[in-house]
Amino acid sequence: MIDKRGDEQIVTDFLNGDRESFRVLAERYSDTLFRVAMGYLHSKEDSQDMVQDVLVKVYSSLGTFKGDSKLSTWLYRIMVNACLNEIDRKHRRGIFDRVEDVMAKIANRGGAERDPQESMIADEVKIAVRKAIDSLPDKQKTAFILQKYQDLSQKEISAIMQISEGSVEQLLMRGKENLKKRLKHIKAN
Amino acid sequence: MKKEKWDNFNELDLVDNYIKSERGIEPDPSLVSKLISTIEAIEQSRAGVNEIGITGANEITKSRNNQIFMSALYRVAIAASIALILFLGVSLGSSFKGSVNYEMSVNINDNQMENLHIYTADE
Repeated sequence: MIDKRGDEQIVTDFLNGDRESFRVLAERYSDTLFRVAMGYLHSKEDSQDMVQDVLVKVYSSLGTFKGDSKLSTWLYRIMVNACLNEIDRKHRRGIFDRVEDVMAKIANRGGAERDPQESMIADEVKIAVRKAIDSLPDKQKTAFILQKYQDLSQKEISAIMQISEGSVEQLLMRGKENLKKRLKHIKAN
Repeated sequence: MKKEKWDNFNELDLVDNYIKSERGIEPDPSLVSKLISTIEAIEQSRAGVNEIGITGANEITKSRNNQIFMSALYRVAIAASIALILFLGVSLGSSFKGSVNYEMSVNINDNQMENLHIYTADE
């Protein structure tokens, strides 16, 4: 059954001791947060872990939500910061974790039965696009991911990033230009 | 044909296609249930710490230490396997001696086998 309570009501109920209300919030926002995480991490498992971590944090800090912005905006903000921190952490990781990642990717690739050449080209393009997105500066990346993965309006993005709508527009434009520049070599090849 | 297709292709189309494929990935349906059980476990461990105090905290520290140990062990295992692969590669490589031909070579002087004079001499 769909819970018709608004977010504010659910938060109030939760803070008044109705712990089950949190399940409703989690069900309402897990997919949304997962998609944002996918934009940054590009891995289903990592994104699911990130959603879990973020929602556990939200569970213990929901009392600090002041209600100045919409709950969704607050959640997006937490998710964006958590993903950016995770990416920083990954950059600082040692060689062992990277080897582990590569091995996991090789293990996951076993089932794919495509034409090897076609598959190689597709993989190369995918890797190049992923690298291009990942190499964007944090603000451009965030604006881009929120728009493309979540279809958010510039107004909503500006509320999440706490910047003006004009700045969001500029970030999006610069982001797209940068992506074009970084992917030119694919077309050339 | 393929070239034409690429010429009309915008770099941002590649990005859009990539994003479309990633947006198609759905989280596991059990994600929320897992989350709720994680939260319950955390709540229980908190309650446990409150109830049994230091003993509970010690248990948590012990389990954390265990996790750290397992993670270190895992890394050592990866390092050992890489070292083993390198060692095997080097030792197999250096054990290769190339093909040795033990057959006797036939020593025939074929200088006189076909005397061209036979064909070129005027009769």
